[in-house]
Amino acid sequence: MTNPTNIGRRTILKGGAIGTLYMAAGLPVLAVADFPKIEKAPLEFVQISSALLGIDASDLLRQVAPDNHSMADEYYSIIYHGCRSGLNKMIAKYRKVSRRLSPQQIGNLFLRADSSQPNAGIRQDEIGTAARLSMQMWLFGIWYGGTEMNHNPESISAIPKKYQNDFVLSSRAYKEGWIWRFAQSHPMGYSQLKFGHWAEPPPALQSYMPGTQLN
Amino acid sequence: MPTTEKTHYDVVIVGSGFAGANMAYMLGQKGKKVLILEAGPGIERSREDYLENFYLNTFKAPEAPYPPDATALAPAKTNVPRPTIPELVFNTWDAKPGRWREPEQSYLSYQQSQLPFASTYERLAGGTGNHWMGTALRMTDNDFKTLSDYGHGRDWPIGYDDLKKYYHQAENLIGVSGDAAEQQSIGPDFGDTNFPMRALPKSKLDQLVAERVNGKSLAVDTEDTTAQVTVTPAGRNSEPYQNRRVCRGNTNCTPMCPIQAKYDTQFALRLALDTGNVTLQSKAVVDYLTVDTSDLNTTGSNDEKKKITGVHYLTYDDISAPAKSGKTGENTVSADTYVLAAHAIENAKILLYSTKKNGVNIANSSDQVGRHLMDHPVYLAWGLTSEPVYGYRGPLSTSGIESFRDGGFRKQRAAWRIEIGNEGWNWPATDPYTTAQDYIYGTNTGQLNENNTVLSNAEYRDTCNEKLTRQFRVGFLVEQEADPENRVMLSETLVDHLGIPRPELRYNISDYVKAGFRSAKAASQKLHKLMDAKEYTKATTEVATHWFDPVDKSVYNYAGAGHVCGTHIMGDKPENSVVNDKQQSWDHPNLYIAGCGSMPSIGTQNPTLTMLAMCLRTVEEGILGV
Ligand SMILES: Cc1cc2nc3c(=O)[nH]c(=O)nc-3n(C[C@H](O)[C@H](O)[C@H](O)COP(=O)(O)OP(=O)(O)OC[C@H]3O[C@@H](n4cnc5c(N)ncnc54)[C@H](O)[C@@H]3O)c2cc1C
Repeated sequence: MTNPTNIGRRTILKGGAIGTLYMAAGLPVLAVADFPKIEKAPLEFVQISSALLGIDASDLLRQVAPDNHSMADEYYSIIYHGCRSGLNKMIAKYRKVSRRLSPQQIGNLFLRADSSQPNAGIRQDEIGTAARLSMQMWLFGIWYGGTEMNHNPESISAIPKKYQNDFVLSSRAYKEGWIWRFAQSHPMGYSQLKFGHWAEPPPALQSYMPGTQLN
Repeated sequence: MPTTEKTHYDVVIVGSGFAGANMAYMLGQKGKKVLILEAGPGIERSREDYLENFYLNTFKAPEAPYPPDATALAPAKTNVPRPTIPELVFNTWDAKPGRWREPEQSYLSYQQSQLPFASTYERLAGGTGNHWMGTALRMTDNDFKTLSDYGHGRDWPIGYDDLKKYYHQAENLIGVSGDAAEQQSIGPDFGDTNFPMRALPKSKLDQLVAERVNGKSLAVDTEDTTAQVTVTPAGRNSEPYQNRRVCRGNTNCTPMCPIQAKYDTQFALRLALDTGNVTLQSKAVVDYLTVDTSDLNTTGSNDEKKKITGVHYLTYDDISAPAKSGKTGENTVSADTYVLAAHAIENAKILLYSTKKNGVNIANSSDQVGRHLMDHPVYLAWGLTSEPVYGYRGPLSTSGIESFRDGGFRKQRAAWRIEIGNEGWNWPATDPYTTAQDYIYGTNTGQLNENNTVLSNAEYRDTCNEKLTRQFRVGFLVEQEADPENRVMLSETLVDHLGIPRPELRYNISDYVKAGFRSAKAASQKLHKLMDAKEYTKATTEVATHWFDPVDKSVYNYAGAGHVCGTHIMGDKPENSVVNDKQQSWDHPNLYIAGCGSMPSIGTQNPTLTMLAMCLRTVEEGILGV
């Protein structure tokens, strides 16, 4: 192992996804923003998250042992402070379109510059910013305020100063990251798995998200 | 005013890492009174604190769990700085003068180096052994005599047979899981001994590589040899061992096993302290050794005159970076015997500074201190398999291909071993993050989003699943031969926050190693082909750790393996080596200089097991004089 030295300096300055991951390191990474008061997440926030991620709301709402912690509330509380007007606009928009569009279409609408064009770039307004920041909290347990600004300089006005960097929300958020389940694995450095599991295929993707209808 | 410690110790050991902690344990068991001086903070009260640092760090480099904050990039303002991955990643290289553009940000200084040194180490209780990965391979016969066999590097004054019994002891001390019969079939003779634990199971990826590559040739100059995937012996429990748990495959051996199923050196240090004969003094930074210079002109036996008389160290309080306070005191402590076990680069630094402070040559009559700096430069290759292999599970690596590490080709080029990685593209591309973000931002940083698509919902989820479960990487650990021009010196200008000069390095990669890299590249291409995998290996000039190869006219990147060796090499003559075969200084009979720095050649095997075997021999046949 394991020195990731082939990560390019220029990649970092260009602010590719990877770069910002590294750039955040120059900031006080362990000084996670003082955790704001927990707000109860409205159902729409969870439904939007579900549309972005392709995970059923019931799976997202599954409470985390041992204290029945709600990740939805944790993420909502952060974005409530970290990108409030984007959040509000995103929810308002969702109310307008949710009857008419499928979750896949809503996800595309919130993330893409042109929802029918996969490679037309990212949606740059506050809704796009709020959608990406929400999605990434669920995936990685990380607030990617700095990364968002690198990719989308316009977002600076949507994110208060304190939230204009990248930080891990909490160790629990890291451990609950959905990207690891998408890989049918576990967060590096945390698992409840048994000796030797790596010699066998993992359980099917479905079992990581029992409430989700997989195609 | 400096004070002098009154307690008498049989042995003072500098450093509580792999070498220091284990030697202290061995000596403590034999009733020797030992003092360990450790530069960094002591044993952490709870491992959970380190683990929490890891979880909360956005930059999950090997240093992530351990203080001081590796991203501070402020070695001049840090009491005990060490080289870090962020230093390598953030700084840019000014090839003309051969140094970083921001020398102040790098603990290791370069003024006229061809290339930067790509490996790092830790300075806290337990040392780099906290985040070693656990690979514990023996060297083979020929690795001990590369000069006589192949005309490259240096020979050891001892051979495999001299270490055989100590290898066995070291494997038991660490708790190595492995398959002796299988290992014996690819090199080292195990006699009738076995590992203390059965081998760990092979990962899905290992199984696929074995299925497709076993029995096939990979390198053109080893046509008669075919590949064999073998389980890599490792300091990871396949059974409960020494009150530590069984591996659950948390894919985090480096930087930290969350359940200590991987042996680490803080564990060894506890065993040492439990003997009741070992004292650990942390936050005690040794800057130099002392000799009685007045003795030089008086009568007495030659050996008496040359003895080390004490170890000088500085104390401090603040471990943060930048530190709010500096030195709080200093002291000199004496003992019958001294052991320097501060890590290869730090051992050389202490010796060179000792010479400067005493005004007489310390341990360096041969002028070999600091020379022959080595590592295993790594050729990293990665691709997508044709069917899922489900990475990001299991120990970071469970198998390797050792078949091509020895042969006549070593006259022409450096050898390599292949480490098969179970962590997807985490090392080469910082995945799963990079790829997952590529599909959110419509970028192609990780190379899997060629069309720059932005995806959501089921398309996003299933694309991530499809890509991440097929990622794999292999690392070719390329042998680096001893070269006196690759060296550690003392910086003339740069100091740490305590005022101790920082190491200055000169480092290059020889044509011999470069030829090894060309061979690794060809072998990787062949391996991907045999596996029906698509290769994504990509070289970049955007990092300092690269060279342009005029032979095949392409750029090569190298990564560090963390295998820092050869700064106080052993030999059979005082004229051209620093220590004898027992790691005893030729110049000072009561000084032992221990660690990978003593190794004159390192083959392709991760060096720590061999180093530990060597240290056990030093205790038994040297210090205790059995
Ligand atoms: C990421 C990584 C992964 C690795 N994986 C493997 C592997 O799988 N297999 C393998 O064989 N090897 C591996 N290694 C190498 C292995 O960690 C080292 O070979 C080993 O730790 C060296 O032991 P040491 O005792 O010489 O030095 P260290 O373990 O570094 O210990 C040195 C000690 O000295 C202390 N010290 C330093 N300076 C001073 C001073 N001035 N005064 C007092 N104390 C001081 C330090 O704080 C430290 O405690 C890896 C290395 C890295 C970086």
